[in-house]
Amino acid sequence: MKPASLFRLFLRALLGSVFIVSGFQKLISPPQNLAAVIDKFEILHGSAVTALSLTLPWVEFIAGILFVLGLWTSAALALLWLMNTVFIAVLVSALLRRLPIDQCGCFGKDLSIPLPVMLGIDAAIWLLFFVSFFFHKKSSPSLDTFFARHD
Amino acid sequence: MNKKTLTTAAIVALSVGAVLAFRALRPDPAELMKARIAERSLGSEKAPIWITEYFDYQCPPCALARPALEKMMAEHPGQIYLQARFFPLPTHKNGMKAAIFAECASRQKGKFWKLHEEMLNHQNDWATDNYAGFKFTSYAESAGMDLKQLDVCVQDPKIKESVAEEKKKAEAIGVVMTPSFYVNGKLAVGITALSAEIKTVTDKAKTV
Repeated sequence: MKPASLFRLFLRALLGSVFIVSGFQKLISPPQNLAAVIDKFEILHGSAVTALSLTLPWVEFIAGILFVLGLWTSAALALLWLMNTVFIAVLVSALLRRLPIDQCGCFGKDLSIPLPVMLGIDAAIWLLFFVSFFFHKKSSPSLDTFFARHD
Repeated sequence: MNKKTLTTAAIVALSVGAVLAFRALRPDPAELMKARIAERSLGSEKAPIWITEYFDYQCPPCALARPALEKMMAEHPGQIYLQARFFPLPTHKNGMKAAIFAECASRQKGKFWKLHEEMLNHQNDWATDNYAGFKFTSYAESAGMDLKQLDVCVQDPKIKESVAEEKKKAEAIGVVMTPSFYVNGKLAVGITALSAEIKTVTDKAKTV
């Protein structure tokens, strides 16, 4: 395998894994935990919070798996990048509104990342998606390539 | 259906199956809620609404939840049975120590709620204190606790282990943040969600 092809595969695996882990952690936890987090951002209310807390983890998890496997790669990339962009917008909005996120509840170790640090991580992921976007049409080991050759 | 669509369907089905299998491994919260800690409870066990609160003494929203819970109990006399359970967060340096003192208070009859209130009411005084134990001892003294017994108790490693075990069991059922409440076995995270859940339960009781 060529180094460039390997790099594209690594990038896809890295970005997809972030969403697989994130989605899976949320899915095996009671949805009320995610609903409480969404509620703190004061953008959605009531049943919209419940609906998002039930659907978002599935979208993250499934799209992440498809992206890693390179199946429906363009669609998965678009979906994950869109979600990442929305997360960034929500974090920026919370910082600008100076929301007292910390005063609404206390989180355990994994969830206690301060908002600016979280924003930095999401921005780094956004840049990796940007790089990935330029490469996604080029050849790398994927199920899309496999099916294109065999169908 | 072509091979690509079939493969996608199989992958999605496997992924969903894996998640559902993991969820099935999670212990049933209702079982854990049955265990009663008499000295850390308020109200009658016969009350129709059972609230189990998971909290951290150093968590500011937990201190705010205390008066809100008192108000709820006053608004629903005889309707609520409240259990307090420890969930000290590693991000709070004195959270575990406070829980150890409180657990020791629960082993001296009638002292738990007095110390509990003192520690939550004066949270800002000890939260960042390197010698928070001295403050907890002074709260225990004003609560009328036996200080010799307290001293032996707080140094007993089994007390810390029991607090850690309580937290571990809570984590297993999905508690990740404080304050979290189980209302008749259903999780409500934060005081707003708790109020909403209590309203649902009481409204349902009225219609039956």
